[in-house]
Amino acid sequence: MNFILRLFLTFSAVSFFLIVFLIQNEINPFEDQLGEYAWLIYIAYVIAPFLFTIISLSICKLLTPSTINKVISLETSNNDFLANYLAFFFVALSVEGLITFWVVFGMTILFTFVSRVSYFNPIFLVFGYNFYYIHTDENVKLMLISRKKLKNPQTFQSGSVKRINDYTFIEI
Amino acid sequence: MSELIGKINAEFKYILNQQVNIIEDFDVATIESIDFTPSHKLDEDEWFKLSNFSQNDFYINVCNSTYSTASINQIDNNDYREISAIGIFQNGQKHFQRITPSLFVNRKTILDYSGAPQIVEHRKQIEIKNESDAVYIASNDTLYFKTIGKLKQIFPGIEELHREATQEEVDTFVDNDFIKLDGIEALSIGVLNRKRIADIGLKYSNLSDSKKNALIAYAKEKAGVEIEDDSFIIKSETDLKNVLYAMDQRYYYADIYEENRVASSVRVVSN
Repeated sequence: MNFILRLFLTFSAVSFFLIVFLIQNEINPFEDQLGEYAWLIYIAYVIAPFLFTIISLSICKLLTPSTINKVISLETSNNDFLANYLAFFFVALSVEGLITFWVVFGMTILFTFVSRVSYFNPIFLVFGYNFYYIHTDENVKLMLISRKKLKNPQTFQSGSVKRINDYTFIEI
Repeated sequence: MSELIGKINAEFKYILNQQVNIIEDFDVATIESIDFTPSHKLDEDEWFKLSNFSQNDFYINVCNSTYSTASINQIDNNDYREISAIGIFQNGQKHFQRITPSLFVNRKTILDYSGAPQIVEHRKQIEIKNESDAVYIASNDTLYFKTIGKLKQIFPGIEELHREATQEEVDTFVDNDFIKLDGIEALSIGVLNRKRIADIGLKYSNLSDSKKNALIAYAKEKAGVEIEDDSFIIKSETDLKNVLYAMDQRYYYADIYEENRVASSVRVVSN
């Protein structure tokens, strides 16, 4: 169960890679049927990652909760990840040929999945979630995805968070 | 919300949480708590307590009220076989239970008659006892427990509170003029008497010389152990226990009942 869930989270995190490739190569299976409305497919492509993300957020609600009672340090990590993510775009734009694409896409999913800290999905930002690195009172560094604007460890409110994996938690 | 964690080797791992309590809350009002005294044997409704528990070396950070279970890893299914203890956090109480092989329920077929009768197959389960081996309450910084031996897995080092005498201490004790071993060896003295030597032998060595003499005179009168050349002839573990009990002044005369008695459990009371 957890495995499939994490795989889906990973997939939705890197789905833009797929979308960029499909648009770049003008792959449109319904071109003939749609005729002059073929551009609708491209809109569907762009909307798809948002749908995946909404689904993954609702899946996150099913994860086992843990508690964070005190943090000793807290820093935002949105920017670190955005740079990595933009790299996906450029790779997707420069890939040529279907085989190359599936190999690169497969590897990207694999590495994102096993690296465990890379559940970064920029669409989370669109939905108002922020990414933070925190140190708990036990001096363990974790990634926390939260809608709250966190700034000060002293005013951190203890609460229940969902465990995506042992290093990544989401407050939902 | 209650949370359950397990100790695998030296590491605590996260197991689960649920909204309802996992076990019954520990109710301090219904028990009598007694400061830990090795020489005291608890009655059913009595618990030992250690106040200012967080000041001890064997305190673990799991007991901190700021402890975040997000800091520990999720347990893996293969870990359960090596689980040595569990911790239950609920309502500000931290319960700890030692897990021994007898608590594993593997493959049992049970007839459940709580509703319509049905056969329930139990596979790979761990029984959680109703009564925890230790309960830490952060609001008064006190640990409650019944048997210290069960806690050394959970609070490494706590066994020092009721330790066995080292061979050196045993040797020093049996070298006293008033002890003569006959048929038993200093090396083979059992665990219980070693614990008594650690406890009572230390108390004795802290006495002044005149008190020591008075105590030995008392012991010779009360212990009921054979005396030869002014020394106890220790032929068995029981003889040694009786001498140690006498050195702890556990023999007394109840004047109204007109009975000579020995106290198998003693503690200091203040009144």
